[in-house]
Amino acid sequence: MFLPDGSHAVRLCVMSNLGDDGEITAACFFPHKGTDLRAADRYLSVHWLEYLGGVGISGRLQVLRDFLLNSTIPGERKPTAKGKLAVLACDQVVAQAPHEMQVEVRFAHEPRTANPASGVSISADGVVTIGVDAHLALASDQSLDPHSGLFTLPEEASHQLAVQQFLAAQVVHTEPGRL
Amino acid sequence: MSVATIGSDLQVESGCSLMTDPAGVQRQRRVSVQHRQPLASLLWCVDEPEEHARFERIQRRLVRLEAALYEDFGSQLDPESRRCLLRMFVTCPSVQAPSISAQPDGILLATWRHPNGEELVIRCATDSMVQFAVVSRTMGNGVALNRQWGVWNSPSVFFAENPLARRIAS
Repeated sequence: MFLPDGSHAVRLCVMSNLGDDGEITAACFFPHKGTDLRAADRYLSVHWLEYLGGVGISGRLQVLRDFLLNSTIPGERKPTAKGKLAVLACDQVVAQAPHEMQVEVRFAHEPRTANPASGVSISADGVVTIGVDAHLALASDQSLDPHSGLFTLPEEASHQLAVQQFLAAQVVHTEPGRL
Repeated sequence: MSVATIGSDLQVESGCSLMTDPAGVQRQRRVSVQHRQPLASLLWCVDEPEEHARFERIQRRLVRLEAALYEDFGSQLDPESRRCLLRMFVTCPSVQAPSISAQPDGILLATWRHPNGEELVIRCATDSMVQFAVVSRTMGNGVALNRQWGVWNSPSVFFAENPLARRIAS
């Protein structure tokens, strides 16, 4: 499902991705290459800001922080105080993607196979883990996962770098990963 | 003469070289390199205070970045990428120190950003290859931003042979 008009996407940026003065750089938009716990990204992982609710951009970011900190999805990166949450206005990104880059940018909701907000996760080998928020396990479906994807990144490395550079310039708001 | 330790595994050509500064004036770089076999350590002897300060700033940044990358991912800076980055600065003294960041795989990115919107990003992909992306301004009927990107296989002459990149980075 494509994100509706007016949506915002949040990219989790870690300290080493940031520039000398903590500014957002193209490195923040490098797709994950994969680990033992997580497959390589087919798209750029972001989170749909409006999905979990909250009031105002900072209020919604706080809801997202809480979600990420409590998430038990294997390999889920946690926001840190030295990292940042970078907000993209989806409509603006799609509209301003330069023609010469020849990429069709779109954002889509990509809920994962377990519901991290429920405190329940399922690993690749089928092991079920129940987190401390077990009372939320009743809602163990994908309906509370704001995880989304930014499609479509080019495969050629320098072309991809140009898209990363473009995305870094599109950030409309940043806050520390953890307050 | 001031001395700066640049890195433990940097291999570059030793001796002085003639460089052309942004004003088009040729000048001799008073830089020499002492090799220690097998590439365990190199000392740069840099006469010019501004170059020395620039190297020290870059070196300090790489130390901080190494710690940050370890904290974030438990990984280290890619040694080839670091060598590539340092080589570019050694061979082009007119370039300003950039903002340096790292990808999760330890590959380094250098960014030069102008308030007018122009920007150069270089990814030091390997010891001998960089990828770059440039946003530049052109004046015509209004101001337009142009984007270019590509791959360059000789990092040491990247700035010498790319006037647009040199202008943005200088």
